[in-house]
This record gives sequence, structure tokens and C-alpha cells, in this order.
Amino acid sequence: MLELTNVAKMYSNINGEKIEAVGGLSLNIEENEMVCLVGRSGCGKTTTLRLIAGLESPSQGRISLRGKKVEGPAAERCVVFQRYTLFPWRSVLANVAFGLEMQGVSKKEREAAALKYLGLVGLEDQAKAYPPELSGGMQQRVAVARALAADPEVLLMDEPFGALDAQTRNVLQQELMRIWRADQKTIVFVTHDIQEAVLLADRVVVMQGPPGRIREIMDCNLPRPRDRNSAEFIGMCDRIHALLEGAD
Amino acid sequence: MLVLKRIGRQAGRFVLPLALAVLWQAAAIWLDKQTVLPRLDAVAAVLLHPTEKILITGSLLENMAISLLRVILGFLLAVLTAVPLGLAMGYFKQVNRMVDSTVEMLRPIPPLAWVPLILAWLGIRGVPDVFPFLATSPVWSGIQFSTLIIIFIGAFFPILLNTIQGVRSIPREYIESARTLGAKGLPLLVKILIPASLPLIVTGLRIGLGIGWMCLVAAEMMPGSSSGLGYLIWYAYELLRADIIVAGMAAIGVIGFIMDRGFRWLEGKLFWGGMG
Repeated sequence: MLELTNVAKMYSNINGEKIEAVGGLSLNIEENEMVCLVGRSGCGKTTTLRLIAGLESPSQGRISLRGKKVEGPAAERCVVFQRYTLFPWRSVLANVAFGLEMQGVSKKEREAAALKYLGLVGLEDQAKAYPPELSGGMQQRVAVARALAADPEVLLMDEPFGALDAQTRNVLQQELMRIWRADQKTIVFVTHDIQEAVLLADRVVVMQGPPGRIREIMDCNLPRPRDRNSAEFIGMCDRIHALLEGAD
Repeated sequence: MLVLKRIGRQAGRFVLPLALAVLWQAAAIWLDKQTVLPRLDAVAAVLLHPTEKILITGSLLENMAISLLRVILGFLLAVLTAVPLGLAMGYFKQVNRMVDSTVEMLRPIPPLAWVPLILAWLGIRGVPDVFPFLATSPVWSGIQFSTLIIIFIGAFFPILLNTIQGVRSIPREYIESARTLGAKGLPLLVKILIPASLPLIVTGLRIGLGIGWMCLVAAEMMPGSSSGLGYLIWYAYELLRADIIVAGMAAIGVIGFIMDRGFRWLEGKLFWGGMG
């Protein structure tokens, strides 16, 4: 459904030297699949996500969604970031309704839809609140609701739970799994947290770099809900860990 | 006890002004020279009768009103040009490259250094000279373009610089989130760029209005002026009426203070200002 073919991204740094952030990466992502990109910081996983989002354009290769070439950002490929996710001058409800507002949906309709998605993340009662009044975990939930309300073809998540404390992160990971089952979506999820990747993913794409390349793609067929303490889970994490240790 | 403590803390605000007033009054009585150091009761007499005609220049209130009207017009002119230019310079690097060095060369020139040139260009032309349909109202005939331009120059740069800074300090994530939610063009400007930079824009407006107000009073001392607080002070000087001079200065101070507080209150309302 989402195809990356031999995608590379080159930057020029301040001295005019070429830096290769992503180098010849090919990946096929299926409909309704949850794919996690893992790797060390600076390995090009976030750049890959930004390329899919259309926030950057590839220097080489091709990215296409349902056969159509990806050009520039659009609501069909919505991103949830780690920080500064919500617009603090808009109420929670107006935040969630933003995508529909941009599509020209009437106020009444978009607010009804926004309430529905707020319900999905369990925050209907915060509709009138403003983002700074919410905890970090609640803000990320609202951000997920806002992205889903825009009804994207692919949901892109860039370490969305990375700034949260461990306990909140656990809760939100469970939430995301529940939402993903309720509202089937194709998700590309970037993280440096191996456990998070194994907990969430159908496939874990282990990346190395720079320049960012795929070290290995691992199928993750463990039954859900996954048990972090099971031998299979730990074994899988260990294998990814070993791959990352050896990577360079 | 707590109430007393609170009253005591609030009273602290008044200690210094009260001490200064007492000192002034004592010095005025001791010196006994009204043309140099007027007694405060004489100043208060002017301030407490704001609707009474002063000399031949109209009442204090009328002069305040014309000064305010001038500053608001010049300020609006600055807002309407500096905010759009600032948004463009903050968002588009190319626009910034084209305009920045010109702005930075014009900015250090004090607004009052423009006075002779602007007088040479515009003379004492009033608003009705250009818009004849306004000539019927006596209010407009007292407003000269040269005055408005001086206020405009004073207010323009702080608004421009703060707007540019406001756009630049928007976290990248706000703009990128909005774009991946389908925002572009005008909606992106109106729904994201402007609200996200509003806290700093308002700071620019506050500083701009303050500087505009300072320029106004000086501009009203220019030739061709026949009303306004600046003119009132100058005219009172020629007649050696120091009580009116001080009353006029006090009025300028109070109006400036109220405008500043108004904008500070607005800045406080924009609570996301601290989040960028």
C-alpha cells in the first residue's frame, strides 16, 4: 500500500558538505499494518518518516501511496510528534476538529466527529479544556485523536510517547493497541525503544546508519496482548538489541 | 492580621510617589517661584478641571482626545504594514533576505530625525487637504500627515521586529502538524501562524504604541501644530505657565501608563506565550 523504492535523502551541512541521512531504502507497508522503525538516534528513522509525510522530499528514489507518488504533506499522511503536538490556543475539541475544519466540514459535523474520537481516547470530558491544562499523557492522547479524526490513510508517529514517564507510556501503548484494533489504520511508528517496538509492531524494521538503511525486517507474530515477561518477547528484544549492537 | 498585612504590602506602592510629592511641594513653597517650580495644588487645579478651557488652546480633555486620535491613527498605519511584513519576513527566508538590510539601516534613525525631511515633503498638510470630504469635521482639520508619519515611524519597527521574532519562535511541530492535517495557504496563515505568534505580536504592539505616544508629543511641538498635549506644553512654556506644563506632562504619563497596562493585561491573557 505504501511503497518506498530505493529512497535516499541528502542534506548539505553548513560547510556545504553532503550528508546522506537515508541511503537507498526500500520498504513495502501493507494495509492496516503496524510497522515500527527502530534504531539509534541519528540513524535516519525520523528522516524516513518525514519523507513519507512529505515534509521532506527524497533526493533519489520514489515514495508512493496506493500507487500515487507522495508529494508534499497532506491529511492522508498525518503525523503525531513527540513534543508541541497540540495547538495551545485552541480548545481540545477545536484541536481534534482541526483536520476536518481544513477539509471544509461544517462546524456542527466536525465537532460531533471530534467528540467521537475524543471518546475513543477516553477524554470526552476534557473537550472544553485547553492543552496546557492537560498532563503530557493526555495531550498525546488528544494528538492521536486529532490525527485519527482527520481520517488519514497512514498514521505516522515520531516517538510519540518518548517524552512521557514509563508508567504513562505503558498505558498509552496499551491504548494505542486498543484504538488500532477498533479503528483499523496503517501505522508507521518510529521509536528507539526496542520493547515498545516489539510490543506494538506486526513488523519491526531495524535500521542502521547514517546513512539510514534497513539492517533487517523482523516479523513479530507474538499473540496480542503481548506479555513483556514472556520468553518469546524477551528473546525478540534480545535479537534486535544484538542487531543494533552490531550495526554501523 | 492577614488583611492588615495585605494592606501594608499594597501601601508600599504609594510610599515613593507620596514622598516625591511632599518633597516637590515643600521645595515649591520654599522657592516660591511658580514659573519655575509650580505648587502641586496649582497643578492639581488644572488636572481637576479637565473640561475647562486652558488659555486659548481648548480644554485639557480636548487636547488629550486629539493627541489620542493622532496616536491611534499613526499606530494603526504601523500595525497594518508592520504585521503583514513581519509575518512574511519571519516565514519566508527569501523575503527576509530581500528586506532585512534595508530595515536594519532605517531602524537606528530616531523618528524625530525624520522631522525636517517630512516637513519638507508634506509641510503642514492636514487630512482634509487630501480627503476633502472630511473637511466638515473640525476634528480632522487638526490632524496633519507629518505628525502621523512620525508616529508611524516610531511604532513601526518594534511591531515589525516582534512579529518576525514571533513567527520564528513558533515550534516547527505546530506548522508541520497543521500541514499534515491538510492546512496550507491562507488557512495556515490565519489559523496557525498568526495565533501562534500572537503573544509576541502583542508585545510589539505594546512597545510600538508606547514609542508612538512618545513621538506624538514631540511631533506636536513641530511648526503648524495648534492642538494636542505636546502643543499645550509648548504653548504654556511660552506663557511661563509651569503649572500647565506639569499638568500636561502628568496627563501624558497617565495615558501612557494606562495604554501599557491595557496591553500587558492582554499579554497575560495569551497564556500560551510562555510555551514557545
